[in-house]
Amino acid sequence: MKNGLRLLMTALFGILCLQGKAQYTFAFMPEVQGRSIDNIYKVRISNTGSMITTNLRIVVTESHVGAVVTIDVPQFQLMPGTSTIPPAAAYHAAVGFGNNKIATIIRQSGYFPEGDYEYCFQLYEGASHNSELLGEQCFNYELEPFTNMQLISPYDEDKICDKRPSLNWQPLMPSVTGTQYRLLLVEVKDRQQPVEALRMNLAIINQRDIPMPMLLYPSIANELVEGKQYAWQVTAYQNDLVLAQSEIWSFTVDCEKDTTTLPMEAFRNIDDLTRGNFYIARGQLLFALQNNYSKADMTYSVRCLTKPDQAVKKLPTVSLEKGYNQVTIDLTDNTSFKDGYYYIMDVTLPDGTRKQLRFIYKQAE
Amino acid sequence: MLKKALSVVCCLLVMLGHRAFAGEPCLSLLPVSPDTLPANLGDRALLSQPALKQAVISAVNQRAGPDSMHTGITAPDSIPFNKLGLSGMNTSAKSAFTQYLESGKSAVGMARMKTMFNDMKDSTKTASYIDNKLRGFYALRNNNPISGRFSLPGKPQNQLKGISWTTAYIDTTAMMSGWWNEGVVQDVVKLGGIPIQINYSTLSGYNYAGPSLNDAHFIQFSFDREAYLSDVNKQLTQNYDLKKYFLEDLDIKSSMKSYASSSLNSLEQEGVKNKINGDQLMYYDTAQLRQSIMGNTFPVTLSPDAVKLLAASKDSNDQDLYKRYQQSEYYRKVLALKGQMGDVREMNQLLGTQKQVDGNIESWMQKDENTSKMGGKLLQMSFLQKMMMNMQSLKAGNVGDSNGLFMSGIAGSFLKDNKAISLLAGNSSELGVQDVGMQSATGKTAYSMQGVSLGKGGTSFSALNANSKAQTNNGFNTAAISRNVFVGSVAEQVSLGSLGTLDVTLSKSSSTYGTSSDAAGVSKSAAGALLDDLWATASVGLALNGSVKEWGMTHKVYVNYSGLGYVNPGAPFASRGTMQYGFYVKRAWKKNKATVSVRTDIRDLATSALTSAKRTSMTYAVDGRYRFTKKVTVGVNLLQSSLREDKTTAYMNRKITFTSQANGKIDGHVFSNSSTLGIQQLNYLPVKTLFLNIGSAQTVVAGPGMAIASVNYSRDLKNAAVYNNILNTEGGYQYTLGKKVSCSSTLIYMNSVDVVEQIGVRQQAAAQLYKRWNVSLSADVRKNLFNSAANYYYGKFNTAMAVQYLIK
Repeated sequence: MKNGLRLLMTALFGILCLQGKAQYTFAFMPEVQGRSIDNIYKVRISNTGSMITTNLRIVVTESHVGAVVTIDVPQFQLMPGTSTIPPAAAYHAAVGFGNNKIATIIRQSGYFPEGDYEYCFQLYEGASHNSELLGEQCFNYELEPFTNMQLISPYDEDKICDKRPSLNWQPLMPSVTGTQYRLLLVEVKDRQQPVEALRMNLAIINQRDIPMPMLLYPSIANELVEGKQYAWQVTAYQNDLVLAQSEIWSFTVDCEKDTTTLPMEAFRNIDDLTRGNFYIARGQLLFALQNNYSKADMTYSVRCLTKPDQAVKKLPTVSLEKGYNQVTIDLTDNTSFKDGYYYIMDVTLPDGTRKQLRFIYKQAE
Repeated sequence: MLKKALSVVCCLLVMLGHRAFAGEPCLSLLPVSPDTLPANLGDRALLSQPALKQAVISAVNQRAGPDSMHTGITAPDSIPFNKLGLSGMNTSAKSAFTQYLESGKSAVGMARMKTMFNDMKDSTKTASYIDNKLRGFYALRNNNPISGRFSLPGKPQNQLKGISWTTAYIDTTAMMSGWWNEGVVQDVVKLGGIPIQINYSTLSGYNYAGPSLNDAHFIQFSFDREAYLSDVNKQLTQNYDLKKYFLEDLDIKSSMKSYASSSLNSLEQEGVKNKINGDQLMYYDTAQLRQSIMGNTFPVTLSPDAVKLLAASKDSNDQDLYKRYQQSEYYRKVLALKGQMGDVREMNQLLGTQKQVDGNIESWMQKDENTSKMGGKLLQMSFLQKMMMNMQSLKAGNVGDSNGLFMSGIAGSFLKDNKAISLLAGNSSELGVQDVGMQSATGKTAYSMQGVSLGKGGTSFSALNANSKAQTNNGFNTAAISRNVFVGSVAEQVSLGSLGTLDVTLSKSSSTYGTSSDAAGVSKSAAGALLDDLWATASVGLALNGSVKEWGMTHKVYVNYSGLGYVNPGAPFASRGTMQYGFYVKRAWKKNKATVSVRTDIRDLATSALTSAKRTSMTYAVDGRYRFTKKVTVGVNLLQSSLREDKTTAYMNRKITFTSQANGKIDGHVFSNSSTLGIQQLNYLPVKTLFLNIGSAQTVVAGPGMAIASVNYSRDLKNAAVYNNILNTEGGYQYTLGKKVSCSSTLIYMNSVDVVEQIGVRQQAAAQLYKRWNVSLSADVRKNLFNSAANYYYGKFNTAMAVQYLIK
């Protein structure tokens, strides 16, 4: 018990002594913030003392080539507690580079290529580095740069029929612990660019917390609409930090349609057609006839004149209503009909009369 | 990798001859396409071709009516008709033509025109001016030029195109916000005849868990080129028959013949019996003409005194000589006339050209884009209106482009005489309102940027200057270090004939940061250091696009290289440190009955500045489709995408999918079915999965409406995946209520194994009210039969309401 009390008293005394001298520590996540110049200075500085005027020097070295980047952040007021460098001071930072290949890439792109880096943060009092060094802390990290995230399917500018497509992309490489994906999918309206749609339109899918590089179309989201164009983009993030964004792709929902459009022709009476010369059937036979009897299937057959031995099969059933009938016989998918060949159709009408209709078959455009 | 990349690029450049070019363009550019009139039109000046001119003048004379019809009309003296070669016009045509020239002109304009006519210093300019005016006058639909309206309606107009408001709520936990609202107002303002589309939209959200989000407001002003050209075209075709302007309706051959005949009739020469006719004049050569006029004799030249003596002489020899002289004179006049009309070869050429021009013009006139170009020549347009004819695009406000750049600023491009200029200026931002709650750690910043691009024919040069800035809008507070980036590009489009077109771009970036000596700004401008670190900061792109119509084939082959140090603020999602290449081929057979497409995309992604370390991403896809009949189509799709590093495959996605689409009639009921069956292997360290995917959707017309049923089943056969083991079934009916409201009611059962199991109902209704109002409502309500902590995806309630007011 006595020992315990003594221990407590010693600890309290120790804390009191420590409070006399302020402590400055740095919170830095090299796996996220060590990847680019624009993230290094987002280091968080904690100050156990009162407000103080400071300036910060950040020195980055790589084990093979030596110094690569030095960032001198001009003086700023460091508040008590934890804070980041004020934007105005960051904007006016002076950046110096080493003379080696890694430094060249960083100077040009702003990004750190593969390397074994040491990030050192030196906090000085006042306006210059000649004054007292308040604190220094270094972090080491063997960095593998992120790869551009690539979308896979639906392919850019593709036409798909699936109204609830699954969306696939390549994962962020290398994987950082806690990385998740956010997928944003929007409709692209008339006269819009995909990027405008992503920024300005209501999202159809704005899904976070996706653990793997794939999303099945959410069951609760309304399905996509045929004929519309959609744009999508995937963001890799960790907690509230966006690590990388894919490019923007778009696709259109467009199902296969019957592309052969048969010309609209008038229905001529079969009696006129049988009297005339060869009738040109463009993918279809059109005629009109009067049936004074009750509903019945039309009895008919077709023979090929150009190649008499060629059988004409699979003719569709034509049912005749009582009264005036407009008959359309679609021949486009029937392989018995060849472009430019001559044919004769024998029709037996419900009243027993027989008609012969001669025609040339032409493929529909 | 760099060496490899270089060698590939060099090989390709050598293959192309010495056209050396550049990568990712720093501005998104419009291709420079010819904007001039069809060829040969310029060569066909009316004034230098008497036959054509005569034909046109006869036509306008005939239209104006004989002078006697308009008694009291006197030939106006303001236009020097004789000097301009228009003496053939009769008085009433002259009067109408003068009115046409004067219509809409101010006193100053009139004075300028008269000075031009009288001065005649620049005769070609005057000739082309009159040529255009004469053609325009000939092409007038209405004989009375005063009744024409040759200018665009200048009165300001405002037309509201539509308003819409959509509110949606979804309670899925991983959605950013529960409530989202989107409001859109579209309006078109016409100022001085120039239509500007104004789009305002707002996006706001309310978080059911935390505070509401800041509303985002977007406004975009864009020049509506299509509407403008259509307005110009309307005005043009109301007043003119363009076919006449291009002399398409003139029968050149017969008008030449009638010109020849009438000219021959007016040739006065005494004592000549064997006068020739129009056909002879046109088709005979000089020897044949001489033969017809003079028989076997040759022309003689005599002094005037000798002619007088011979005319007075009674001697038969003298009389013969005199007759021969008269024939010679006639022959000389005929030759002069023939010279004026051109020889046979020239005439044939003219006839041939006309045929060719007719063909060209026919296809050229199909497009609004083309015919409206005549607006500048035939309508009275202000300087601004003429300038806007050449403005390809102009957007201001919140503007995005095809490179993925989104900024607040202005961007436009202008094309005249096959020369193009594009400009952009504005501030880009990296994150949008959908990203609220996140901070950027991508290493990209917001930029303030200015860019220009100049193009001529297929070549263009562009430059982009960008300065980093902090983004402080929409709740974002992103700091940035002072940085200046400059990107210069050259792009060239070369036609390789039947192979297609080759686009080559070469681009180079340069960055500078503030230094200690000049900490406030950037040490030296990035533009000044553009040539530093050449290959590390260059980007080269080659793309061949083409099609072979006879084979029903389209193809694309591309190679892109970009250095590890390349950066382009104008293309924020462009890749860095990559060598990518691939191709795409699609071929169709039997009138699109069968199609097959093959695609590969390979990317080598450099990681190190010191070694050749890289990752490789490879994607292959084959897609085949066959339409058996109009009713049944089947397809198969193979896809493999992988990402490898140091012989380790970090990611592998292999998929084979069979699809079918069918439609037709069963028992008199129209139906359609779309089904898929697929196997997908997805290896993503350390998870290895093998999914079976089955999906089928069926619609059948039943009763007054349509029954819809769908099943989607996805199962990991290896039991390694947490998510995506799903069975989703829906069954519903679509129907209309009271002719105006179309509805659908659906029952849903969904089971995501070990995550959530739900049953639910979805009700949708949409109606068009009072012609212009569209209202739609949807609600999806579900009950969890089972739920787990792993459920981020599947909410219980989703509703959306949209109201639209549209004016079409």
